[in-house]
Amino acid sequence: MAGEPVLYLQLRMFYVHKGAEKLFEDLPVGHGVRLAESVSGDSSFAHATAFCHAVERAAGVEAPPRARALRTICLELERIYNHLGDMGAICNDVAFATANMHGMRLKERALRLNELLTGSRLLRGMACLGGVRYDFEAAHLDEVAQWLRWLKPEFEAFVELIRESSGTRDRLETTGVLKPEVARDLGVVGLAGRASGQDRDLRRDFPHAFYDQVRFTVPVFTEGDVQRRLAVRREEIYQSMGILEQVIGKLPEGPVRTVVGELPPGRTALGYVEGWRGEIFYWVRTAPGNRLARCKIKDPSLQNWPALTEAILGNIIPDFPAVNKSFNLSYSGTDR
Amino acid sequence: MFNVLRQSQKAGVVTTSYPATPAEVSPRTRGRPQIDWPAWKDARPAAAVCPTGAIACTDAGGRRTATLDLARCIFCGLCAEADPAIRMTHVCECAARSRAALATSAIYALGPDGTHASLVAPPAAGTEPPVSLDAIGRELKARTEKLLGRSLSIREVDAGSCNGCEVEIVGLTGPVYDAERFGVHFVASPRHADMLLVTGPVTRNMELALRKTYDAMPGPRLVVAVGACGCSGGIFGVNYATRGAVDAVIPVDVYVPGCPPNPHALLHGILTAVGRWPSRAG
Repeated sequence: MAGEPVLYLQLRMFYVHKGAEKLFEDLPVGHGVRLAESVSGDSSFAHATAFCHAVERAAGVEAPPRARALRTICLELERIYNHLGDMGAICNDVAFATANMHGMRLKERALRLNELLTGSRLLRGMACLGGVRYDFEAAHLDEVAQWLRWLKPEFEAFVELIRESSGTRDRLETTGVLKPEVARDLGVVGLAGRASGQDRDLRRDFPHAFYDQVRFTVPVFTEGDVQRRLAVRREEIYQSMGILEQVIGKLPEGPVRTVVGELPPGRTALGYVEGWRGEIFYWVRTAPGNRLARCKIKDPSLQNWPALTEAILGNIIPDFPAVNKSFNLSYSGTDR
Repeated sequence: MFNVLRQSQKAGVVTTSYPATPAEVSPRTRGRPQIDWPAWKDARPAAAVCPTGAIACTDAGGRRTATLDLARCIFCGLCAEADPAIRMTHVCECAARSRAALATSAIYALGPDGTHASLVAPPAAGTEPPVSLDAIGRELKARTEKLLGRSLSIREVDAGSCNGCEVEIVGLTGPVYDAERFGVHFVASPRHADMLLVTGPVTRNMELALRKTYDAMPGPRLVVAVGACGCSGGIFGVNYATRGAVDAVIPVDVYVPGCPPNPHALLHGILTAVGRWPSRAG
């Protein structure tokens, strides 16, 4: 610090290291799905699905088309509820509390939809090896469609509320800038990367689940400030709503789960998912007895944390909460 | 500015009337698992699929002790899929004042094939610890209730959580659950707090920080352990990196099971801890 501006930020991580990777080696592989849900709580479904992708690949099976479509629906719901909450929270950190209340109101409806579809507000218990545990019936899909019809004007009004607030824009523009070249050098991924010119998205570049069947664009900005990280979230919510409509429109029939037999030992496989924060990787090596010899987890937060130390430099202390929130990185996902 | 007011007016009041009305949950919600104890034929399949050991059984001398421990339960519902004698209810309010009260055990006599032949000891939950008759203890309790009867300041500590519990705790400060209705608010320092809300299995790296936070609180103070991890260590249990349950490190007054507990369950736990849970008619 030198008066108000921040000169240097040092991160001290790994306070919540829980030994998760080691634990995967002790648990039966099926229980690993539940553990993956608890690696980073706000990305429960993305983490569990990335783990499932890895194990399914090691076993040489693929989830049926309907399961892949339902996974896509859940991944997009996870993205929407987190982005809604974050958009409000960023505004809250620059004293626009009303926007936060609207954001939380919209997020709550998303969480309740999650519960209606999967029995859990955070989509827990939905993922399983070989597909998903619960099918969505016509009534459930109707609920999603109805919720989308409700959300669209509500979200539009929410966006307008933030856009009209010149005080908010004044605080967010040119704040916490992460330059594209710095983002590239640090290997910043996900929405923080896309706000700083890194045009990468696993959903488009290496389609998993049902993403090869839907059309969407990947919003990219080059300014790299808090305002653009907010804008990436805003645009992604619009895209997610479009993806949900498309998936519901062409949902394949059939089973939602396939049998994953005993894992062959000594295989290695990589599973990945573009979570709301960025790319999530699970690398597994199988062991005899349907167990894992190793499970390596990489949450997007891991390589994005150093970006925060760069983005905050020269900013004033009162802007730190907003800059931090605009990245919204996971301690637990990093520390595992 | 006009638009801000217009939007607020358009949204109207969205605050739930819970706890005056029942929790608003949907038909697929997985709440407290319910076991049909007399009809339970075999505890082993459910115990095998349970990822956290919430359902467990031990055999000795031709008898089996089967236990359902809500403190460990992550409400995944896998047991209910494996065993017709178990079903997931919609009840989310599971908070209890003792760890023992969350565990229910029954003893079965075993048949030759290892299934349950008959129920020897009916299901019984552990009892709440006897209220201390010590005069100082009683006085402290009365003082706590008097002091905390109106407003309550909570310091939240993430002692190793996956942040799933935090997603729901943040929900308490939103317009729908609005804990401020009860005078409950979150503060930034343990020095200002009446209650510590602790999430996560306590990691070895957070153990000292949690102890120091507890020590920094003025008395009388309350501790609420949140989620399966806070109540029992959850799926992480005790390993090289974690100490497990919060009560392995500091004394806990109320346990709130769930993975994560939804905001209804959190409100129930917090209000139970300060003796303000309303008894609902009917």
